[in-house]
Amino acid sequence: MQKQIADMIKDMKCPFDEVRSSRGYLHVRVPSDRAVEVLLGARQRCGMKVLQLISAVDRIEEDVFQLTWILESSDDRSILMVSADYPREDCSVPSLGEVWPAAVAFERELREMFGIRFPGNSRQEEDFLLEGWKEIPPMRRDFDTLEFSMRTFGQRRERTHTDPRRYIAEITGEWETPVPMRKKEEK
Amino acid sequence: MSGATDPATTTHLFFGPQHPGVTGNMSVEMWFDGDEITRAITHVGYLHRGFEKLMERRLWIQNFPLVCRICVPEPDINEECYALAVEALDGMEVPARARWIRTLVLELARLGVNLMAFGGQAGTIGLGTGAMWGITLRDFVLDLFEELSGGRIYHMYIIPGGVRRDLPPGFKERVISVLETIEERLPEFDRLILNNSVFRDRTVGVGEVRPEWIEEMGLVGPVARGSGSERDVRRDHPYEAYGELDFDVVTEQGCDIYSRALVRRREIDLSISLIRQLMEGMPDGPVATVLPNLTEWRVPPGEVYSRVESSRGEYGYYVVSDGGTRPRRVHVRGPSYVHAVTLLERMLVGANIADVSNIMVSLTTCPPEIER
Repeated sequence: MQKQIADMIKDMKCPFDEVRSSRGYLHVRVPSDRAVEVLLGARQRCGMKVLQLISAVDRIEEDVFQLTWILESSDDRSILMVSADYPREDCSVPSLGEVWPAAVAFERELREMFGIRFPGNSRQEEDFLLEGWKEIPPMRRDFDTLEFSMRTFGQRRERTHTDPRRYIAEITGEWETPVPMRKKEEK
Repeated sequence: MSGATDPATTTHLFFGPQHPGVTGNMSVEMWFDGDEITRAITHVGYLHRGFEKLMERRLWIQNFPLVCRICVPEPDINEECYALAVEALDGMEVPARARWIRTLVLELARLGVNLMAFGGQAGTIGLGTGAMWGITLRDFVLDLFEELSGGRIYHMYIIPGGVRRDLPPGFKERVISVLETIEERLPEFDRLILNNSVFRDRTVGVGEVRPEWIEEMGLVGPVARGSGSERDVRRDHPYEAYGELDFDVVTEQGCDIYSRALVRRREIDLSISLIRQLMEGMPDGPVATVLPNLTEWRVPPGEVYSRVESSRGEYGYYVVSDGGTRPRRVHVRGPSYVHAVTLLERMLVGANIADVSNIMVSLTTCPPEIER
């Protein structure tokens, strides 16, 4: 399988790096402007007909998003991973939803979690998980989770004791316990 | 989305997130014309706990108590998938006995889930006895997990390089005893569910999954095998001890809910057979390799996609390391992702409102897998 796919990519005159290769498993890195062409070629010429996953990695140090498509062969169920780097700023990647229906949901999630747009995805504007999210996409490395939590939920008051009766009384005001307190606790 | 949404003739209904049709919080927004669904949209997000983001902030070993919580009924496949990925990145060797014990754990978990799912399928059409029996039989399996790991639901037993501890003395006899108890009750279980005319009427020919959808959408597990596909990672790309075991992939041809229930029922027999083989052939030796200092453990840079066969189908972890003490990225690909969103939205169109729960349970969706 590896050789067939490598030959196909060479036929396309597309430069690529082999990231990892083992039995039934090949991971290649290709230029971003050739990624879709390689994926469609693998589907048509090498039988990689099943889309397993589309994932993204925020490589903020290099100012890129690394997109990875994971395809599976319908013949021997071997895996092909194709990775490409896209600029972080206003990131836009062609949608594959017309070819693989499962891609629609994966792309919707990536738009929401990383802010990557997928032109051609008819449902990319629909919320997936985070209905009404107004912050920067939360899976980006520059999303400050601590700052967001402090601003949204505030700091929990420091606990000075571990008595639940006192705690409830403090936050609700007066609270009459249904069970009489034992003498030891009254002290 | 296709389908008529004329307000004069269409009813708009929010089904869920709490309803009998799913093993977690997930809702389906539906439009009806009479009793027939014309359009459906899956809504997830009720169980989003930010697992993947949390994993980027924790040490490699600290993620083990975290990943198992992604799927409550069957947590072990998450531990296994994550362990396989970390071992592949670190070049770690797993002792033979540990591989066999891991396979035993995975099959025990599959047995428990399939007992619950098979009974649960009957529960959705009002046959509550089937659901209770399934849960009761599963409890015997949970007893074994409690003895093995200390936990009934979350086990945190599979770690990189092996498992936490060896099997306790006399464990084999107790496993065999539980298998005999389950086998003894299965014929009655079958009579209750499979021979029940109401169950057959409500499941045969209902909830069709067309064979051409399997490749198109990437369907896996009993959903694919109930429509004639032989997709099974255990056989196609054997991991752990599966390559040394004797088994055939279970398939059915009916493409309906009944076929998927039958696949799960036959998977129970398969798991029992595999567990017996594992107990008989279990090699001696160490159960774990020596791990580095876990607080300073740096996994070499790289990317890997590991996959195992869960009770619901193929489960995958895409893990990226930049050579640091924490993962750079972990992406969990559960089978419910495609089944509950892409497939469900398509197969509900044309279905009857009374069959919605039945169809959803036949896909055994696990919403936390979608939301992570």
